[in-house]
Amino acid sequence: MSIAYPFTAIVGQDDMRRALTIAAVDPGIGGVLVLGERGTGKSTTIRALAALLPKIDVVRDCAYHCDPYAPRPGLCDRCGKPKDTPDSTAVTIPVVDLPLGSTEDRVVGALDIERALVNGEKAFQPGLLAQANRGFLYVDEVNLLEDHIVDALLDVAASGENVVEREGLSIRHPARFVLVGSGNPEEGELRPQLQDRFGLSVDVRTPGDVPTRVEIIRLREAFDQDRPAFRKKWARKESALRRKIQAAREQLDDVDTPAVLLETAAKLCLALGTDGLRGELTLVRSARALAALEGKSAATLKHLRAMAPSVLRHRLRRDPLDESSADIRVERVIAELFQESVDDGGS
Amino acid sequence: MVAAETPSPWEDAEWAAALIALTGETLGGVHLRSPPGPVRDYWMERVENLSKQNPIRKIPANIPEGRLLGGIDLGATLQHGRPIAETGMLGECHRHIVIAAMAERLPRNTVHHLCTALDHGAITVARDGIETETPARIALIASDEGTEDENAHAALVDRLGIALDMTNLGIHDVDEEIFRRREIERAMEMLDRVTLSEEHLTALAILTTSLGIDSPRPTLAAAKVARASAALRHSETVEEEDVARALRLCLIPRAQQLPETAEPPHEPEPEPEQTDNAELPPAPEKPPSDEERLLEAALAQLPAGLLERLQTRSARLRQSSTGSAGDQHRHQNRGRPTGVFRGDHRRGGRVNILATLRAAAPWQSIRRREQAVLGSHTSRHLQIRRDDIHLTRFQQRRETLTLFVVDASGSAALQRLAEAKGAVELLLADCYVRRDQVALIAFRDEQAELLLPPTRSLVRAKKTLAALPGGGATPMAAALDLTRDMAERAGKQGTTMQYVILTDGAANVALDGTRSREAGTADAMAAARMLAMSPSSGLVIDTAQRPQPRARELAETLRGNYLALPQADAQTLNRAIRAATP
Repeated sequence: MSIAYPFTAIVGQDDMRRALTIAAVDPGIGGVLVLGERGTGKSTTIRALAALLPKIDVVRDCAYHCDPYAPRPGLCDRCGKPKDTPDSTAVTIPVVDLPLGSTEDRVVGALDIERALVNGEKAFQPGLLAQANRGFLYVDEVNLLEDHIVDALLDVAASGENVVEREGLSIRHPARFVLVGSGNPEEGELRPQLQDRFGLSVDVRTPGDVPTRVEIIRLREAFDQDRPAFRKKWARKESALRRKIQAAREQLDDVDTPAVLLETAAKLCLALGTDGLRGELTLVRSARALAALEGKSAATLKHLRAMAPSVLRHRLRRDPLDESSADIRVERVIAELFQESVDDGGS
Repeated sequence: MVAAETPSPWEDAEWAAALIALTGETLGGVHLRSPPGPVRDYWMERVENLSKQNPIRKIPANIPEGRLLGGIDLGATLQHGRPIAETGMLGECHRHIVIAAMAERLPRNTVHHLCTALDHGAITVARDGIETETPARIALIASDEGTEDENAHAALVDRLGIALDMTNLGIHDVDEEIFRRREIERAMEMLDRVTLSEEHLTALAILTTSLGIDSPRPTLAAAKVARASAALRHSETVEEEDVARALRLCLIPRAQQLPETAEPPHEPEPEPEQTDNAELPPAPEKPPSDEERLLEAALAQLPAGLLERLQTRSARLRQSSTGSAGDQHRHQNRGRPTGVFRGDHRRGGRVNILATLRAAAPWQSIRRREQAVLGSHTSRHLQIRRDDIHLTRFQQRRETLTLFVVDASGSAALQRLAEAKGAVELLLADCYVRRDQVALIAFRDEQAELLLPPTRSLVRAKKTLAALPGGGATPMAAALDLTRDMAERAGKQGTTMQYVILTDGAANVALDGTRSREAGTADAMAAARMLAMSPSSGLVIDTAQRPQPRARELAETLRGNYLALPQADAQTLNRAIRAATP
């Protein structure tokens, strides 16, 4: 793999970076959808994340990166068998690429032909979904993904489990991953079912002002000229952020959720008319993750406010006749609601 | 030294060839607009001669995805009895200069893979039981022969550092060679030492903004070209001359707007310093700066006529920012594989190696024993019998295109236009669930115009529809002819088209532009009869306040359905259309 551009050296694009960091802190948030025009650094940022992620403990030699300390149900067949604490080892959280043009057998896994032919064994060759377990699954140009691959993804992303019934195999294995998709909305719509699966969505734009542009080019040129040296220069910042993510992951369960947060989340979703409870849940979870990232012991309305646009933007009921963009609608409601709560609790 | 004199048209082309030879892989490549011919061939030859790299490879536009990315190697796999990967074209092209012929016709997926290779210098493949990452550092020459409405995909063009237009270069323009390979090699040694001053870099960034280029990639390319240009001049510092060259080769051809005069029209966010002196005449903090001078100089050096062409082209580019050819081809040549079945390969169809191997696998030991018993020599090769052969079943998805033909003339009230817009958006909102496409033709005054080319993108549709003008006469015949064109084009792509005409039926412009009710109606009816023969189905929605027989006649001639909807709003319209069309 070529050397990735450092995550911390990315200029601007705060929304996208925050959403990805939050997803790294709490994988349960449900993935990140990054939409934007060409040249906004979508793909660079996501690939940069891979080099930044902390390590996790996994069962040694397990194709699914099972957690050695997790309760047995929910692990793969081999790791789920009762036995003493398995051998464990630490690996970097995987970021798996799902390239366009992938065939279904490589995504969900299939019969291992080589072993079938050579040894006459019926063995399962895990696919990309297995590799992505407990990590990230990245789909560039997610809006161009073929329908039958999308179907496979939808089911697994919802259940956290990949069920393979083909070629005489009957396998189920855990496949809980953070789905990260990026794309240019001008090239086609995303299927709404798939869009729903994403916890956060961010809209990236090219920075317009000249100093930022100059900064981008200066850094990129330096990176292109000597990649290892460039990474070394940013190593300290990278590991600082890595430690921060690591600490937040450990602290996450201890972050308090005050009742007012739940209430506000519910109000917000009600006011925007988002379907289902998923919006509220994600809103609260991501506020907590942000609090953990900042090292706070409790999530506050400020955290909720910061995450609300990313959580709600793609959950609005589609109204083609409303010319205003989703962002503006979300901002409008947030402004109203927060104005209110400031008045209520203010004096 | 700036703008000493206008460089000969060939000079920039020669420089481009040298620059690609020098820094091809980091620069991405060249977007080359040129018709096929000796000039283009000669230029390619120059690139090949100047680069000390491996020979130039060529990727055909219709390359199947499997060949491009690589996959399973049929022969080797059968021979060895285990899946053996075959390097795809992109992998083979590692460290080569690659020509993508007919770049304007590249299917969207091919564009995507080329972009990945350009971005990361490697491609990941996960298909046919193979999973690898292959290095694929390439410099791409996207040879774009696109005419009017065809352009190479914007995502690809954005990644190619240099944009070169040789459309108007004739064989007589070809000039002397400026560079030799030795010079390229010498420049290569210098390249790392070349410095680009902060001022020049800022100038490039400002120019990018003032030319209306959003993506930061072209600026980055311009910086690289400026450095390389200095190295080619044996200079360790970038001079204005180099910046001007970068401007000509990287930025100006991508201009979305042309800075009119001295005032760079960059419209930054209202910054505090600007609000302070809001009343004052815009007294620029920076003096009439380097950038403007550079830009003027560079503009002055452009060959005559290029500016006008740029203006028209960039207007068009903005209209369809996502290259049309790619979109249209998305599903055309590769149906969705819907499974495998046991079958005879001699009757056609594509053998699915994996399924075949899987079918053969359990029998291998039995077959070997069988052979041993029969006494024929036992080979350790894999034994595959006819029964094992599995074929892939493809299903060609028939896409549906719904074309709205909207009468935007004065006789159809302006109100109609708003409703039609609403209906298009509603229908599109429904369509994207089924992944269907929508397009829109508006006709008024002299002509009918395809305002929204077939698209699935709500975002794009909204942008186009927001600026739909109305008023004027009713050139019905022209509209029907254009509809027929669209139907034929859709037919060629395997798309089923249905059209919805919103009109009051009052044709009053003939095909030759004369304004007369009789001629207009006669032409319209003739056009309608032609359209009726095309493979498409139609619906005429009568938008007149009091339904008139003429719209009904039109529907009958078209052999389409007729619906009178004098009070329709967007919702009703949408429901009616969905009810009336299959």
